[in-house]
Amino acid sequence: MKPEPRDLKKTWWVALLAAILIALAVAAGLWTSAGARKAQGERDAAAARKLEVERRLARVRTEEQEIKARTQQFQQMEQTGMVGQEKRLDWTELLRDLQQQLRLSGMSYEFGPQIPLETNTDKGYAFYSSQLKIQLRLLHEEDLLNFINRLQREAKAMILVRGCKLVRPPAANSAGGAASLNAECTMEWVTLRRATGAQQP
Amino acid sequence: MISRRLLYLDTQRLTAYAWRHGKLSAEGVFEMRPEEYPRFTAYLAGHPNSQFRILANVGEEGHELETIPFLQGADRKALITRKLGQHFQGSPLVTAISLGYEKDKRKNEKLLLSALTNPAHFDPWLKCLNEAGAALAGIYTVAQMGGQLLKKLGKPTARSLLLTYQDHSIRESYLVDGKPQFSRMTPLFDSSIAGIASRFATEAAKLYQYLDGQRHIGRNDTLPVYILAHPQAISAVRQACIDSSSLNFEIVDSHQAARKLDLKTLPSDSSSELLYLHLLATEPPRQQFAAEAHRHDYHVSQVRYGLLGLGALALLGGTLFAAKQLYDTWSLRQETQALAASEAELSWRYREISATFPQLGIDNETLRRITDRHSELLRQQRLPDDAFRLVSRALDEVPTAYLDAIEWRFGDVTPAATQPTTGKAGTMPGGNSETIILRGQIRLGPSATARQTLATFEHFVELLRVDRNNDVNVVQQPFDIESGRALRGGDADSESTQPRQFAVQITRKPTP
Repeated sequence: MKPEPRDLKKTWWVALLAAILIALAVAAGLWTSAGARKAQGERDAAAARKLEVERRLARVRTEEQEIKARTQQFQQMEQTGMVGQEKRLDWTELLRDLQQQLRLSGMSYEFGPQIPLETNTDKGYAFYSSQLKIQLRLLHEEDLLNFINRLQREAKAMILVRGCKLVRPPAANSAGGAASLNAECTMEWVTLRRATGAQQP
Repeated sequence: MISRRLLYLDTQRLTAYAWRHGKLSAEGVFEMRPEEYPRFTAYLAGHPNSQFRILANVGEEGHELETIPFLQGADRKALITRKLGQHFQGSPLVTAISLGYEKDKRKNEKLLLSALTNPAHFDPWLKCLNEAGAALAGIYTVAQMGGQLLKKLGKPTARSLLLTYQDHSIRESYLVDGKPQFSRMTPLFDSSIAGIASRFATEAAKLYQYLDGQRHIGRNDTLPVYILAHPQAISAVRQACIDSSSLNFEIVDSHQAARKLDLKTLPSDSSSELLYLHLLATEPPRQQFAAEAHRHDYHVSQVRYGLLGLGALALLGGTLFAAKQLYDTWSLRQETQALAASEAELSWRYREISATFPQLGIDNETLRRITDRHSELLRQQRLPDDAFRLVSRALDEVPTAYLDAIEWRFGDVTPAATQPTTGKAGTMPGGNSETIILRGQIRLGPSATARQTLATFEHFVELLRVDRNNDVNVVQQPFDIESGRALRGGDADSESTQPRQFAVQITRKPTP
């Protein structure tokens, strides 16, 4: 068959119609495929969520014991007073009281600024630390141990001793001085509170 | 669906039929007069989407048997064209049917060459078709359809005579293997049942004599003769056509034949053109007589229908695919809803159980994180009491060792290094070891020798090493007697009266 110009007149609209039909078919296929893919994704996500809940439910009994133990631990932290804002006034009063009760002849100290111990503090609760540098005049090294012991028991913070140095003062070599040892310690006073802007429990 | 229309052309007129689901309906009769041709053109133009087939029943028809050498492709086509020209004086309405190859070494091909030898009879109609741009699929003859008719009716077609009546004439064909070897049309002047019946009988005998004379058949051969007749005419035809030694008649009921062919329009008399037309609509022969120039618009029509078919097929495929995808989507959404409902129920059960836990206003994950970190910090809560006891025991054993200072540190990182700038996170000391540095003197008295002082110091150091976990390192000896250092001396008295300083570093991993 040899094509003639008049053939075009007879066939162009049919070709156009065929192209439209094919385009419609392709469009329908693509549109419904996209819908099916989306539905598949939603189904997979729902299945994953259900599986997660199933797992949580399966371990809830053991979790119950664990949560109870952890709650108890948290409540102990609250009882010690380490949860919440720093109570520096209480701390200084405690230091003064301990000095008097243990009859320490001299004491000077300095609390550093509070810093967070977590890199990411936007998770609700975070631990913070204030460093204490303290110098004490002691009669015996036992005074230092008693002092630290009492601090760890009574301070409204967790006390972590990083270092202590006991030095015999030059005057102590010659008899007559009341104190026989100088002590210098570094400690971290750790507290727990909500991150900046968060409300206390 | 392609609209099929059939044009029955006899010697006097052309009758147009529409074929639809086995029904034939006449749409127009056009006499062979010049004033009728424009009407025919208008009729054709009124059906631009139809495909037309012409069934011709004319007397001017020729059939020739020919044998050509074994050829293929363009050579074969050129030779056949030449042979057709030689036999039929250049008529454009010709066709060639291959009857197979001879079974000798040369494999010559046997051909049946057929032609409509009076093209002028067709010209006005073909001109109308061309003017209207009608899609002419082909021109076929009644003789050509005969073999196919017998085959569809289940009649043996090895060698037979077929006699049918249509448009006041009798078509008589000699068929070999369904192919017409000879065919002629005899006008019928008495169209009564009796007239048709007697004419069938006489024409069958005449045709046999002719074929015998032309040596198409042997002198004593018996040929089956098939005659199509209306049910009401069968008895008359049967009475007229009596079997003989050479002819064996079989009368075929045209209504039964129509039903066998699925023709729903039954013939009203003994005419057979409706049967032929239906057969042409449903199963047209491969060979036809029209030249390619006359079939141009048919090929264009094929392209159009092909494109439409392609589009429709694509749409159907797309629709089916889309339907399946929609069903899948619906199923997945149902499944998602079921999963969500199940998840909600499980979550509710979890919350019910969780409600029995102690309530702190903290979620469980945060509680875990806080308590884990707290435990970790608690492990770093140490006192120097163990270190002091270790040193005290050694001092009790060696009272001549006198300490000036004792320094205790916990962790690998010095406190000063961990103090960050304000606003940044601090770090707690790493590791789990403590370090004790002792500085002091050995006081043995003025008469003590350096050897005695060193021995006392060594004893003191050994006492510090009593624990395997202690890593004791002497930083400064009371006397520098190591080879790598300078050694100075002088008056023995002044040397021995000076207190000898030492420094020892102990690194230990305390038990938790």
